[in-house]
Amino acid sequence: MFRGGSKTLRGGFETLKGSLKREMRAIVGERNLLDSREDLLVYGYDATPRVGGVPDAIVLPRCREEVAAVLRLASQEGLPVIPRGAGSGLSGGSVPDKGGLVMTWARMARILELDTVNLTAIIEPGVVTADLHKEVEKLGLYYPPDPGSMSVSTLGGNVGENAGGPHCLKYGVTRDYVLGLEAVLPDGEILELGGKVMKNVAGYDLCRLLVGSEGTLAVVTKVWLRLIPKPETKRTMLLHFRDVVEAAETGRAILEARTIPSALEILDKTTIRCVEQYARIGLDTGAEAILLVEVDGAREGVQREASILEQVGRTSGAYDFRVARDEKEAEELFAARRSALAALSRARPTTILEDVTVPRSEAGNLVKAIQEISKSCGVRIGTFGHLGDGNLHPTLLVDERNEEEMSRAQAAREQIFAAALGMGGTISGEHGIGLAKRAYLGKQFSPQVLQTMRRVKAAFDPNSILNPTKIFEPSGDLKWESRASSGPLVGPHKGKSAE
Amino acid sequence: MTIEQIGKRAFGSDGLERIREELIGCMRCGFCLSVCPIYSETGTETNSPRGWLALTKAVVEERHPATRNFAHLVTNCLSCKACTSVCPPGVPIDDLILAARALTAQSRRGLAVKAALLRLAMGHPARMDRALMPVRLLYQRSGLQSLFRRWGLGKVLPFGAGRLDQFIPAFARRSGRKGIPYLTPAQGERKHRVGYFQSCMDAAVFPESARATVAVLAANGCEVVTPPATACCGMPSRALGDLRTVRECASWNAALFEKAVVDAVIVDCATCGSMLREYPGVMGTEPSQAQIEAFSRRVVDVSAFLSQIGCREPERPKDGIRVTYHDPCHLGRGQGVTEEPRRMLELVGAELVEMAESDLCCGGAGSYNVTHPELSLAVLERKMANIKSTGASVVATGCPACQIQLQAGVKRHGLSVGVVHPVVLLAQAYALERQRS
Repeated sequence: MFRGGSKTLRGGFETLKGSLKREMRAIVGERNLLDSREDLLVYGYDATPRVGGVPDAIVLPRCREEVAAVLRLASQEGLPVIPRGAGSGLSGGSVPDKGGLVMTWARMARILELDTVNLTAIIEPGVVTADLHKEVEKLGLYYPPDPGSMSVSTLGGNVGENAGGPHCLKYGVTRDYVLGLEAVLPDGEILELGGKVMKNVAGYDLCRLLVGSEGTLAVVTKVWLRLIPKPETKRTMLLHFRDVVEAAETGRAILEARTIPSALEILDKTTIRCVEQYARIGLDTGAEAILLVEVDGAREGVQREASILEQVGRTSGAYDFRVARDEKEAEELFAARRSALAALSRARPTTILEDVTVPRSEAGNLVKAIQEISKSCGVRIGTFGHLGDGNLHPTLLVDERNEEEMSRAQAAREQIFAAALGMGGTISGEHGIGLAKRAYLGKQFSPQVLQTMRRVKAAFDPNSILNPTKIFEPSGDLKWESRASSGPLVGPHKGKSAE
Repeated sequence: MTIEQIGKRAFGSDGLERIREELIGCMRCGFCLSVCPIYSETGTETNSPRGWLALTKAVVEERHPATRNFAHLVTNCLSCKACTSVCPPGVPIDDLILAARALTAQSRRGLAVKAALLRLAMGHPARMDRALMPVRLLYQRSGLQSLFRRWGLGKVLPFGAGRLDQFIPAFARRSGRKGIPYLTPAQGERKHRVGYFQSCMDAAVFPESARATVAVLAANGCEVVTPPATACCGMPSRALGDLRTVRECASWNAALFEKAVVDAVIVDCATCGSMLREYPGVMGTEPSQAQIEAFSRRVVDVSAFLSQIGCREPERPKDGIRVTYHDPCHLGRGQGVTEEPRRMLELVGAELVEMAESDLCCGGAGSYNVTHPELSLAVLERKMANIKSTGASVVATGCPACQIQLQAGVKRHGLSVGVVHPVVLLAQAYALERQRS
């Protein structure tokens, strides 16, 4: 196989019909339809472990008209279309597991307008989240949603998954900042929903329905976002605890003191040890939990809130607490949280990052429950995340080459989902269902709810061509038979699905 | 040949296994995409660190053949190490991409020919100089250059060959190697005995940098040994996937400097420096591994060494020039040297104005500007915009390859901005001092 390289290439590797490809090339231009073997291989994954596939081709449209024309063509052919941002998702939402056409926004990545009177931004979906942050902050404005992958994730992808982040505790998630959408239906019709208005109750709120629909209802081509003034300053506090429950109690005490911090993050014992081993920033590895609390806003308000924090910190069960004097020190304290993912991912070859969420009051119990599951299943799990909004990231540290270990990890995942649901929570707070969790959606919702969701899907996408394998377990066989995924590219590819 | 055999030939017996183990570490988070200059220009996963790793993984797992396209794609990497510096699980991405080239070199004839030619030239510096001589003669003196420029020949040549002209530097009339004696005595009391590893680029294009380095070291109490018979550092061969030659260069250079008995081996070329320091990690067994490790530990960039020994401050000129500093990838990320060259600029009384993204690759990347002119130019444009907005009259940078690229950028934009190695400014300040006294 190795030797026959160029011969196979010259011999041609046809996935889509030649005529279909020609038509698509006529729409998007020669360079914006990719179909070499190498292209197909690198558009088959996202950041989700053990989920993969091979698309039939990749298309990079440059404007909504091209999106519409490609979708119309795909509809006629019954060709599945998988929208993709930067491929940094953690639920397999952009993975072409059964082949099809991957559609990315790489050529639609402009910030179209920043309006400093209405406090809105109009952007194309391919804009990188961190780039928007930078641009609006130059104007003294702020766009709060800050998913961990924001340096690479696109806003289109954030809209598709309704992304969150540490600052969502105080400021809300992506959906709370989307004022309007321009989106294309699978049949090529263009929807314009909402816009610069701050209040809008005309008809059904389709705009908010599309946010978080994981690319299964329509393809977003333009987004109107709400901005707020940039908080003037912030203060940060770091607390060490001997007991996880005490840490959670302190989190509750802060909220009960009528203070909403801009971030309230927790790191458990396993995470603390990994972070300290990796970054050596002076955390006490004897601690059972660490809390990081940040307040932001106007100078006077922050001062008042900081003194409340200090008071809570002093009376809490923390055996050590530090308040950052300035922004530089605040950055140093936050390094503990920022390096959590890097530290955990260095511990073992495979990192499975979950995002279960429970009511705030239950967050401490969930951390405890996860630790027990870790012990009983024999899987090392580091938990960190957003204690303040009950959204935790239990991170399973495993080796995907060890099938026996993977089956224990699978059991641990299922128990974690059950624990979260038992506390009135959800199996996904910010990553989405995609492929990785579709088998468990039925555990969270009644058949009636699922049926209603499927009806919504059918209303938008009657032929089921938009991301057809995501969110729900497939009810019947896919009409499309991908030539790529049955072709020679899929060899001894480990673990095709997370279930 | 099976992949196992190819791997054994390229990396030695356990090399392929090591590569597989390192590739497993990639969790495909995509953080590397946010800093990759090539992804930023192309916007395609096929031209991104994560994509290159995924392809390499498919090849070493025999899910995908090492096609010509694969071989071509992995040469699109600049080796700027930006990806490696942000990778959460710490995968040595740039190193793995170079390893992928070594895999393809075993089965691609075109690459092997290039590597063999290079191998002939770089065994000996005199040969390297001689190899460059025909280029010099052919290009500069034969009139081909003026043909290019006056007749606009560049515009009619295919494959963007015409664009090469702007990247071909003005070669020195005389090789820099001839001007530096084997032993340069320390000025005043002898405090250190150091070796100087002269880079090919300095010899051929910037002999003034080499002279400045030796002069500055001598002025700071160093006795400088400059062996004329150094071999190439090996990076050009490594970039083409020829690791055997790299290992041979390593053995040769290590033995050479062991004989010289020096406290440190000073380098003023960022790429040479990082290559020499990375010798022990280049895969394959080598009988002189201990000697190579001892050598690599002693290699240090000129600015870092001077700051270690406490560089003597020259008499400051009255009005300092406005200077901005470009961090060479192989000095900043490659060797962790970022503050020392800046301190050197402050030492000569320059007003240092930081440019945005000072550690962004300039697109030079060895011979990348010649092999990939279009991508290289695109990356250069971003760098030039950052330089322009500083209003500096001089760009300093500790790497001759960056110097060539930035000079081309300055010319393209018609700027009157000088491009120098910081050590040249320091040497000038010392010389000025002597004139005054």
